[in-house]
Amino acid sequence: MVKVYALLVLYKGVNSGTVLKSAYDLQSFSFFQRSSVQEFMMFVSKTMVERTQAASRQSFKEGEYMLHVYVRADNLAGVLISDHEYPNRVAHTLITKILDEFTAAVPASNWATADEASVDFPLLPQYLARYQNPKEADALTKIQSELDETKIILHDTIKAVLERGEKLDDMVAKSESLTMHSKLFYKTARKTNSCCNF
Amino acid sequence: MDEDKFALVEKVMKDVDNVMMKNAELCAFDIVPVEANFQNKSPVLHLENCLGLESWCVKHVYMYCYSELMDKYFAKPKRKAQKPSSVNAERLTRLLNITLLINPELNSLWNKRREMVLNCFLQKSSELQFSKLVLSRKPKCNDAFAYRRWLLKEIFKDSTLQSNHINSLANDEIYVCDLASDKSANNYHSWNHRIWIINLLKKCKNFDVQFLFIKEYDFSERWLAKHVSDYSCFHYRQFCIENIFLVSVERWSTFDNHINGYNRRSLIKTLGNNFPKDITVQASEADLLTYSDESLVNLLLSYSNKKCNCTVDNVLLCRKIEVLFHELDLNSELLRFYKYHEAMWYHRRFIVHKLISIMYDHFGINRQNGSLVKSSCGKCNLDATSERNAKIVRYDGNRIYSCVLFNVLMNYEKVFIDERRIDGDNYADRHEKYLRFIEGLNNVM
Repeated sequence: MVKVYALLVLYKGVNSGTVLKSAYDLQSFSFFQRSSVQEFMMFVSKTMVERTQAASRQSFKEGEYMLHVYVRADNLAGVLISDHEYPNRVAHTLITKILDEFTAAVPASNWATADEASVDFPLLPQYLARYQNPKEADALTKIQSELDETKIILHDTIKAVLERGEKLDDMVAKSESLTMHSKLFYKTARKTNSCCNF
Repeated sequence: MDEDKFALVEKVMKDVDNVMMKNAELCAFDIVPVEANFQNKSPVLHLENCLGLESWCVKHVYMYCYSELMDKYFAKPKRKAQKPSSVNAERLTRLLNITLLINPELNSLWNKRREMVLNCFLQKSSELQFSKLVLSRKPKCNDAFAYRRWLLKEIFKDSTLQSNHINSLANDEIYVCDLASDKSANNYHSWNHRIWIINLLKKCKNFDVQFLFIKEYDFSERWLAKHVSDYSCFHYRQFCIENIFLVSVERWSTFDNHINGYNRRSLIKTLGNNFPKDITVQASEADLLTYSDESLVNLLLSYSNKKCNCTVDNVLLCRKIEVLFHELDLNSELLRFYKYHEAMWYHRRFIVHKLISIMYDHFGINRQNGSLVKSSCGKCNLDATSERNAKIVRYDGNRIYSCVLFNVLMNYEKVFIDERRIDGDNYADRHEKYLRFIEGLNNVM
């Protein structure tokens, strides 16, 4: 399946990242799971932005999902969550494009203090819808132009950027931004995924 | 304590039943993870046509319902088990509903439902609705699909079925398959079910199955553009292609007009790019566009050496070639864009194999144990049996390898394999090996 689940624009502050704008397509999840999935995607995006150095690109494989992160030199960051069949090149070009347009729409002086409610950037959901089919969108917008020089670092799992002894499970348990419901959802999902599936 | 639980389970069953009775549009069921009953609320959730059950109560509900079912209705020896009757039908339905929603992989319970349908305690239409609900949580549940097939067979036994009723049944079924395929990648069961329903409709007199063929052909193309490694869908696509060959000439030309003769133009373009250099083909691309089906086939395959007098349907032959070359183009495009996907390469094998078999067929040749033999005409069996297995002389073999279509195909594949190989796609080598050793083209490549 080629699918984009979420697009987020974040600001990487000194200690933590803040979400400036986000758009989700969670139709493929069961109705009762959607809010948890959304919370989760936001949590993971924030964490990964915090662990990506400025002016670098990273892509993480986690289960059946791919997480593409780009943090610019000015600490504006973009995250795209897709499945693993989504072409990396398109994902990163799209993030670059979005960040450029975001810079044009929202002045840089506001980034550090703004939050999702105060930022007006209606383009995000449009991009999310259009790039569901990367082949058509790519032909349409002609972003064939090669990606900038920044190399994409590819990780097979999110664990690669965690510090020694740190576990995603513990981070989830400690996190304050996730509700009880979502934490439980995470635990159950872990359990169900571990059994064999045909 | 236990009595509390029983009361709770009874309450849950009643609530679930109520929701299912009241809301005919119910479209999804799920178990929602909740650790314990913090608030004294019913664990049955009902939001926006979705039914949810909080996870803490699932164990109790399932144990209670399952054991009641087993004790009363599936007791052994069989004579001790209660048969569905007007007295217990309602209770039994409730128990079956909730147990199957939680665990749909219990064939005995589905069989009990079948028994109830036959005794008219359950409606066929509401049963279709119920199994759809089950599939919303477990899209790979074969028991639920099998139950649907059984229901549909029962429904289709009625020969007075109106065509609009058949239409709506067909649409519903295809819709259910859509949902299940979307929920779970490579869903063998849903694609298989889709093939089954189309094969069922083929036998139906009051149904325009040719329209469905074209619709599904179009649908699978769009689906595959977004699900590039769904091998189950590739299999379905191959089924669609075979079906397209059964569509009547008039029907096809309407579709062809709709896509503006796109297939023909792209075939001509491919031909133009890959014409063998040593054979001087006079026609330019613009000329080729004016060719009739008849003359295009003559150009591509030259004459046939069939001995019988059966007429060859060149219009159909031309359509087959067009469709398969379109498929080849599509496949190349997707492989270029998404790269390194095994499923697409395997689909390519299918396309190439199909094209080569068309040629063998045209020249009256069969491939047996790796060597070419003459085959009898499928239509009239004219060929004498003595000649049948005679190895063909080299000259006949050369005839197929020198025809324009064969050379165009080989050139197309060679160029594509080289291009992919440079891009670092290891499957390109494997594809070449396949052509050489499985299709037996080692001598001519």
